[in-house]
Amino acid sequence: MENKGVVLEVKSITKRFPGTVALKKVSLLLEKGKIYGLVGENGAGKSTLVKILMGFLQPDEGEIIIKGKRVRIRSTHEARYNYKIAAVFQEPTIIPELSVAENIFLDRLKMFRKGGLIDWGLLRNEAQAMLNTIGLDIDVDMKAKDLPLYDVRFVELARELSYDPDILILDEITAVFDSSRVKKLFSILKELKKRGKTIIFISHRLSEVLEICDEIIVLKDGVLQGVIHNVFSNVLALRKKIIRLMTGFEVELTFPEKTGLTRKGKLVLEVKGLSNKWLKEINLKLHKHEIVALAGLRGQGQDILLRTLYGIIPKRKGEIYLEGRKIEIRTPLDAAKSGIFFISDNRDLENLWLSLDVHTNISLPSTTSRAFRGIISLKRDREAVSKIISNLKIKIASLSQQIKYLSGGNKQKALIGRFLLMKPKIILADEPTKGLDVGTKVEMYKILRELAQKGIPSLVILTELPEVLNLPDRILVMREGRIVREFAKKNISEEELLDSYYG
Amino acid sequence: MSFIEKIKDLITRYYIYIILIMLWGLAAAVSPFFRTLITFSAIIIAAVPIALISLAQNLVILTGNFDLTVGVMASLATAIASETMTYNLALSIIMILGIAAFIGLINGLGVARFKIDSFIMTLGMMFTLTGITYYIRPSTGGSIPKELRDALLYSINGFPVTPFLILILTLIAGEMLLKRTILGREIYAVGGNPESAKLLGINVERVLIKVYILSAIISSIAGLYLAALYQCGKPDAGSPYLFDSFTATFMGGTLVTGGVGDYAGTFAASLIIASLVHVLGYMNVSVWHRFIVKGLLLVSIVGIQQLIILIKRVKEWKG
Repeated sequence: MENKGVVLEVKSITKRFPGTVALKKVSLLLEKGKIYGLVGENGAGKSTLVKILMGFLQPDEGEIIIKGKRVRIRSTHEARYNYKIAAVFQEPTIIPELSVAENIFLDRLKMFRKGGLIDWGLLRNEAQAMLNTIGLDIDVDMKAKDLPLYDVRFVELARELSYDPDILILDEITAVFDSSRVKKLFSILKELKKRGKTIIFISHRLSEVLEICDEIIVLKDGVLQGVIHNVFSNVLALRKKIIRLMTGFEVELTFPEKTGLTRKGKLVLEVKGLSNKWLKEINLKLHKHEIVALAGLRGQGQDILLRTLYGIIPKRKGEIYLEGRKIEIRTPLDAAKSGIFFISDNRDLENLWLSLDVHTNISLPSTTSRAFRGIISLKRDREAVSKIISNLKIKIASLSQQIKYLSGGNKQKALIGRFLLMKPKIILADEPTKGLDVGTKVEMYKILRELAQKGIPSLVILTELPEVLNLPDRILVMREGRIVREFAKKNISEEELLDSYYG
Repeated sequence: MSFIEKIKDLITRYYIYIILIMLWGLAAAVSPFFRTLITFSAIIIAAVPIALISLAQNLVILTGNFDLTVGVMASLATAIASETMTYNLALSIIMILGIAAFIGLINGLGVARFKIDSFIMTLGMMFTLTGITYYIRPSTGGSIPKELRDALLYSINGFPVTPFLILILTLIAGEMLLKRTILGREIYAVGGNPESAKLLGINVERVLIKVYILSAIISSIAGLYLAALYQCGKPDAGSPYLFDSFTATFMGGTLVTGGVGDYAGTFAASLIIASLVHVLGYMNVSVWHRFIVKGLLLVSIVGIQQLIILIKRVKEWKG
């Protein structure tokens, strides 16, 4: 099937990483002179797709077809020179110690060589000309590290345009732009579109995507959910449809009752004016029998907030009160001593000793409390661990089994068991049900609820809509480092919640 | 920028030269002997191998790697020179540089292509080369033609003209290489962010291989100088300079993580190290005590660098 307008075809591409599948049989057709939006939550596979198109990663399965020919893009060099694909990556690819001019022409410095040395005058002129085409007025002699982040992104754009690509990919370039810079970028993109260039535009801000893109590609967990045609009208309905595709739905989940709504209990944790680079004036309260969720789009500061409370990331200002007493948390050890524990969304690496056995993983941090004159009491340790295992119904072959062989749910329970032996006052959890199957998720809801009823509240980051709506007593919605909305009722409508996610 | 900020900027940029001048000023004020031409000449002569070998190390560290073979490369050069130079000076020099290039190539291939950690790769190579050096020249001896000494250590009225010229040339060459050649700029790209460099189409492997070859060649040039200085082959001639090359590079402001630094700073630090021997000598600090001073100096320099980075990061996170 030969199609004249098609510049690039992706056929059933799969990419696996250890432990996950980043892309599952994704197929796409890109046409000349169109702007494509690529949306999806973090981890949906957007950046993996970009890296494959740029030849930085090789797909495990599937093929890429350019101008009717099946190709293998083996390096970014091949992508840029042989296949005319250029990209501004999500993470700035700039060399901080080099000048703007050098950064633009880094892989073509040979063009400016005179007698073995680089001719700065020539390089400077060419770089200046390149910046002029996108209307950027900065000194090309400046070191890249001295530029503000938004100018770095424009310099990268100039660099990529200097390859004169047919396909230009922009991965989250607007994340650091204010509205005037977004406008400037869009006028550049429209100009490129007029000249027949194809653009893939990735952004977390749906309003931007809906404003500029002709087609919107939606990914979720590495699976293509659909390509939606933008009619540039009825934006609200379109937006809703996209969000639903992005976040997904699971129906067969059942949730315990929100008992913390009626029986809150005493105030346990109070945070006042917590701020650092990413957090802005966070105020929140957590009561003894509550489950409180941090919601919102991913990456709005929820993970930073938990890590700041746990002492991993320093705060600039703000006060933390535990049971009415002001506490200072400077390191995770301070937090643990106060009875605050943290379950990471990457528990395998950040919470568990994967190569050690179940017994050690559960008992080690609290073993001194059961020790006799500094000697570990194996008997008391074993009793404590056994009790935890039967209470939480952790399925293991034996106590000496290495913890890495347990299922995700059992690892998670073992971790909670470890904390229970340390007399916790609060549990902080970053996506505690991530990667669990439906049955285990339901079990996890029950455990969190029972803990709350017993007086161990939790502050959890939740991302899946059904969980956000039905598990916590209260929902705190975060956006750009702020808590922007609070919900504290039994039935919350999906629309209401999602509306609060977007500015 | 306010006046105070400007001063701060100047100090952070040129602090190493300020230290050098302060050290010289202090030593000259305290010791009348330091003020003599003899001392100045001695410092110049001692600084040449430090400056050269530190340049070699500096290039490698800027890419984010180590080269532990810099010292032994110089020793090996003196050994080969002492066995071959009397037959044919030019041929011998060509052979020494050729062998150095080959060893640099092996180091580079190991690190770049086979992804052997540079510490391990060059540690293994260091031992291998030490063995080869002692095989060629089990003890100090052999002979070096007088012409080489006359050329490399030429002096007028006690002033070491050629060592001084070599120093100046090394400074210019090092700075030009890093600032004005493509390889130099690619070194910063690779050391600053290897992932980005790759995404930007830089052949990271080739840059690393070139840098290791260059490092070996520069080190063996230092070896030729040492051979001329000692008038013989010395199987341990280069060994003190491995340590000095690290101290000079870090003292000069190059970061152990790579990508940040220049040669001008390392050069000044080389002069400081060369002067330090004399200063400590006047203070009647014995040889093994100098080891203690040098050791603590290296650790504290890198310690301070890390502390500055940590403070900066905490500041940034706090926003």
